[in-house]
Amino acid sequence: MFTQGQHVRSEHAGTKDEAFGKIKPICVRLSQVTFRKDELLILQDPQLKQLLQDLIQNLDILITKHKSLSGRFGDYVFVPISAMLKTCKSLPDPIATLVFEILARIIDVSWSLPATVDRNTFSQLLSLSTFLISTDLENVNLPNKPDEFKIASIRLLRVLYSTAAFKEWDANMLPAIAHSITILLTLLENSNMSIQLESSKTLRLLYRVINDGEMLSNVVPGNVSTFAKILSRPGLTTHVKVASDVLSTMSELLCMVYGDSSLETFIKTSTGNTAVEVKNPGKHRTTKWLNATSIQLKRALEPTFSKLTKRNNEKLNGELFEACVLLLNKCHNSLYGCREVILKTALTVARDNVFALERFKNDIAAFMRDNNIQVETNFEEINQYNIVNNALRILDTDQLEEYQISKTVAYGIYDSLKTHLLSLDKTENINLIKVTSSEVNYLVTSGSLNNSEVSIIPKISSTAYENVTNILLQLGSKMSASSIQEQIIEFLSIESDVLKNSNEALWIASTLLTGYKNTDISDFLAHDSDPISCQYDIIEMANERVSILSNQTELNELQRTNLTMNLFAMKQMIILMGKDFKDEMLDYIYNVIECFASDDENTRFISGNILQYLANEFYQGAMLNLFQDNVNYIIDGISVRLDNCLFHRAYMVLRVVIKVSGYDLVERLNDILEKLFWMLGYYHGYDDLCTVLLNLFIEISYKIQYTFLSKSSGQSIEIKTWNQDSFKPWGMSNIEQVLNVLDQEKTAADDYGSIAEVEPPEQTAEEFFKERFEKDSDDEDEDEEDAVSENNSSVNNGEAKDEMKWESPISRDAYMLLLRFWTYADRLLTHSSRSVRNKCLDLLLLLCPMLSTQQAVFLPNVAKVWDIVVRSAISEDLAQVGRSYELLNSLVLHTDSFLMKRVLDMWKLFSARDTMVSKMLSPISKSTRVHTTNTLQLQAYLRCSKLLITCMNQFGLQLPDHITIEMCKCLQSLPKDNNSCSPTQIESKHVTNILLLLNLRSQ
Amino acid sequence: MPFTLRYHTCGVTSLLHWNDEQDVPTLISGDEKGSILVWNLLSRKPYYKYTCRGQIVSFQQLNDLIIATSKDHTLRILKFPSTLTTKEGFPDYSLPELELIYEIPVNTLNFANTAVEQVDTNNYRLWCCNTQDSETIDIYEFDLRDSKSLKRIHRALSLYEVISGLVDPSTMKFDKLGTTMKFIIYEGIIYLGFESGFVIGLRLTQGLHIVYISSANYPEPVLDLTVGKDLGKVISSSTNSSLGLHTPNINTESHNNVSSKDVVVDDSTIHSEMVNIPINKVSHIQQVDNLLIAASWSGRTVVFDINGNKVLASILKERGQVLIDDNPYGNASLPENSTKVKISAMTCIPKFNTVNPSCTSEGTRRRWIRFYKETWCLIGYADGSIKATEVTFDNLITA
Repeated sequence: MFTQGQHVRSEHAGTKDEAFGKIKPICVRLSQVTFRKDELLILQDPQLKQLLQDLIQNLDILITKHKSLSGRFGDYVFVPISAMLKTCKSLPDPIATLVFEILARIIDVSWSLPATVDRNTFSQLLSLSTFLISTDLENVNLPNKPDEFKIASIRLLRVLYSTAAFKEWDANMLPAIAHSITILLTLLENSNMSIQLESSKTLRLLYRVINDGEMLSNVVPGNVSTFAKILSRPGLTTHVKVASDVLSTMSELLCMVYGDSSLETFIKTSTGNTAVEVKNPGKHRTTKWLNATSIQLKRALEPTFSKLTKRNNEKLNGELFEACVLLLNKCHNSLYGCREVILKTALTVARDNVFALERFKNDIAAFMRDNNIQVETNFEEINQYNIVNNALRILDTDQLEEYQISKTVAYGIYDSLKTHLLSLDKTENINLIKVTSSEVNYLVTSGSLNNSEVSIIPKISSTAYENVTNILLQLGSKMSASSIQEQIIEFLSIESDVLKNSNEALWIASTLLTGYKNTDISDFLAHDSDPISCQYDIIEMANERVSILSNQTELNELQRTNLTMNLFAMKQMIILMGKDFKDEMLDYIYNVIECFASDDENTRFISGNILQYLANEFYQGAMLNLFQDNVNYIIDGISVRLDNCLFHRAYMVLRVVIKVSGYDLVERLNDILEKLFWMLGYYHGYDDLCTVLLNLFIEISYKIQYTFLSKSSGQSIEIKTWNQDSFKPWGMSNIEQVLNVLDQEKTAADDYGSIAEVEPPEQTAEEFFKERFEKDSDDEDEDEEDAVSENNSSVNNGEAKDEMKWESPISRDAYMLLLRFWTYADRLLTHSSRSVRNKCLDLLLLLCPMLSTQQAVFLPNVAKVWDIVVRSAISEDLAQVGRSYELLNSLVLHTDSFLMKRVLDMWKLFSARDTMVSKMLSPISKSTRVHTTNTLQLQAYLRCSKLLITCMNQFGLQLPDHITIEMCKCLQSLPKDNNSCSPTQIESKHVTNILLLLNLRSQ
Repeated sequence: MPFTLRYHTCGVTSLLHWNDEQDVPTLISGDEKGSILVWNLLSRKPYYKYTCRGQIVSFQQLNDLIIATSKDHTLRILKFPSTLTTKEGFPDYSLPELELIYEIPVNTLNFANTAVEQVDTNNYRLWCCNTQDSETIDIYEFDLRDSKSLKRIHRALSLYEVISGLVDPSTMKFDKLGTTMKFIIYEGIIYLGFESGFVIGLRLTQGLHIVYISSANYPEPVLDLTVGKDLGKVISSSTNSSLGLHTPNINTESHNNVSSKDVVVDDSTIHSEMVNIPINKVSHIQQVDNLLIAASWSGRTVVFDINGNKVLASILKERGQVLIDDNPYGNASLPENSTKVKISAMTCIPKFNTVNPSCTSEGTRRRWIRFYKETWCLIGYADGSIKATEVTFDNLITA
């Protein structure tokens, strides 16, 4: 009975027989062909190829089922092949390819195990195989063979190398082995990617199987030279995979041949010279050999590695790093001559794996020192950065100092930057004071900015900038307190004119310190003095330079770069100081804010970052609070700029500060305002200056309006009308209106305090004159009066001296300030610039209602300005005309009947000259209404009619009837659909009557 | 870098540099409306305040006491704050108040200041104008611990009679000394500057001793008195370009059996040492670090060498020139001499090279040291600002 196992075995044997059964007839038929005596008869047999292919197919089936078969099976299958090989002098490539395939399979399945083939036979087989692949030792024809041939060849060789017989190689096999190596190298050099990969792998296999450095040392030069040739092909012709594989093959070979352990090499240093000696020499591998080959090796490796690093391929870099680390680990002493090349390569391509080089710190330090490794002027040379950066990651503080690396690197960067920045344009000046306050406003209101980093060094890529920064940070992080202090002091003491030379030293110093501060290394170096003072040295110097640069009206490219570098240094120090910076704000905040108002993008960006940081750090992100809390310091900065007549940016900052602060700030700004008035007096010829100052005045006026009129009382300015339309009581149509009138009179009489307000101004003025004369005679006794009122402590000092009753809700000081604005605007109304004139009109219009709250002071000033405003209404500039009418309207509205006479004169003038009024009254337009599509013109018309309505309302019956009629005629010519000044706004019944009459007539 | 302190909303009328090595550089300022502020000159912020009801006329430092004379006819003794603390938290603009220790009614009709000296641990002596007649002086004593201890030692003391007897009537004709313009204490002597230009040095020991008389400024009024430490003299300024220099000869004559109410003339010589400077109407004069600094009514402050010969620097503030019409009678209100902002107070701070700041913050320490490396001139203006300017010069002539 068969057990289960027996059953499987017998089944297995059965399959074997079945396979053999299939192969046998093929072999028989093949033999019939190959045993012919004539080469031609064999090779030209149409069945040969098919038979060989069938054989391969069936062998494959067999191999998939059986890992190994007996040697005799191999012998059996080999018989027809050997017959063919004996007869044929050479095989055509397709047949040879099939033969290699068959041989590879037979060897693999039948002759690979020990004792399946004797040494001589194997030696012959090896020789035969190499001969079949390439008949000549130079492999001249091999590169031209078809790929299938090459693949089959490699496969055959690999199978041969994998046999047990090959492992016992001897000197007899050496020629064949050598030939096989040349074949593989040739294929490696001259084939496509997959063949190259196979060749490389097979070679590696070969080295491993041989596993004899002494023997391999013979082939090293040739092999390495081929590898080098392949690896350093120009461009990217060698595929990354191939290059990676070849690299590992080469490194494996080198490790076997140059391995420290087998050669027992040691380094001997005497009288400054270093030499490598072999303690355990072989026949071939002696000290002499080592010295000679390592020079050659260096020559081969240096360009190869350099070429590979330039490819900057991540995978390849990884392999390269592995190879270097392997070589350093295994051949540290033997390859002393190549050590620098290997270290340089490793440092160039290292990434996070750099710490695999930890063991070689001293070598790296020596390498850095001996080669004076530093960042060179060409900022795009990425590898240079990697070397320095990786070296710094590995090296210790002590080493950096002992080998003077920190100094070399820092000064290297300094020199490079200096050279680079020398090339910057120093001729083209760019005006940096274009006024764009919108961004400042935006910052204050929204308090957020884009927060990415910018390169502050012009004309280098962001990667290069990043690299330099990283190196400096890295270096700083590795320096000791004393050395960083020394280094920074050295950098800061470099004389550098901020306007003419580049300021890279400060930027470098600040970055080094940032690097230092960002590590915990300082904790371990407690015995050293803390370089805290350095950060103050840096920020103070940077600030001083920023001040100098900000004081320029124009900056060239170099100066702009200096500005950003210094500002950046400030930023770094501010961040380092953290909470401590709060006390330092006074010296820096203004410069930062002013830089934010700069036109240079980088400058604006960095200063924006600083402001953002400060707001976040100290004011919970509220930029407004940052401004308000430091308003005194900002104002002081502004005043310094104003003293230097650097007005534009200071103005912008001032405007923002006023905007975000209350009137209490304006109260404290007397000296600044005084300076502005002075400037306006001296430099009124500059249109820009006038316009921005008038804008500022408008801003302050709004602040005063808000403080005294809207905020406190919650009501707008009351227009005081003393004129009583004599028709007024007659318009009543019911008893309620009668009661209303009576109530009003009663209230007015009750309210004693307000009587002064309803009295006509003429009367008030008279009172004032009277009082004035009285007071004049009392003037001398003023002091005595003071003495008398000694105990009357409640009397305010200012009030005691008052000559007139202060009626305005606006405080006297604020009112006087407004009055100064008014006076300046009055003066500037005749300015040659259109925009200045219009701004003046805007300001006067804003001031008019506010100043009208103290009529006694207001009226003389109105009288002064009236004629100029009337004149400016007679102009071709429609915008100006419109504004003038509006201002005239406001003046009439806020002065009761004070302007009666002047209005009549104005009317005469308007009627006589070419004005809106004369146009509306002209016979042509009399019958037609004004038709215009020009907005400005229409607005001017509307404002003109508004003025006329106000005049008629204000003066009522005081206006002669013929003038009232003419005014009404003007109103008639207005477009009907416009409601803004419809006759219904007219309060005087008398005028309404006239208007109605006119309307009736025209209908 | 010069800087400006802004907090006052009206003219600054008095300034005092608080002289204490242990404290951060501190300034005390007073204004027209009676506000007193204590400034930290390093942070440039006020930290304490006090509000009187009238213009501040003068300050004096006496140990840790601030003596403030105000136009509300009161002399106040305030305690200098022991710490200049920063108020944490934003926004908080309310400043803590200075502690008032003592109040004395005084006559401040003619803007004259006062002088207080310490008699012993708790007792102090006040020299000031008489309550009714500014041409005579009163001397009081008081115990700081007792608010009712004020005692008048001399009342309406007139020096005219004594002085006029000593003056040669052929050279100087004057019928009164005029009002007392200034008081100052230097090395135990109280100097009085008069409207007539006389400067008189007094000492109250047994009886009131007149230890010094000078007519250097006669007949122009004395506008300011200051101590010139480098010269070892008191300096007086006037409306003309002369500065009077005053050094008394102590103990020239000794008197026995003098009652405390007697007035004794120790030195009857009429001194007239003076120096001329190329500026007149000197309302404020200071002498510090071998410099002579004079502020004029014109709004200009000039820094001279110690001899007053060489002008080293000039500080001024321009003002707007367009006159405003602020009254209904058509008269523009700006005074004629108005091209510059009016100076209403001035003080100087000498260098202090050996300062050893008592602070923990490195930034403050550095600013502290840097501050005292300069000689500072602080000017209070009518516009409410206090401008601090460095007036450091190398290779100065020494006195």
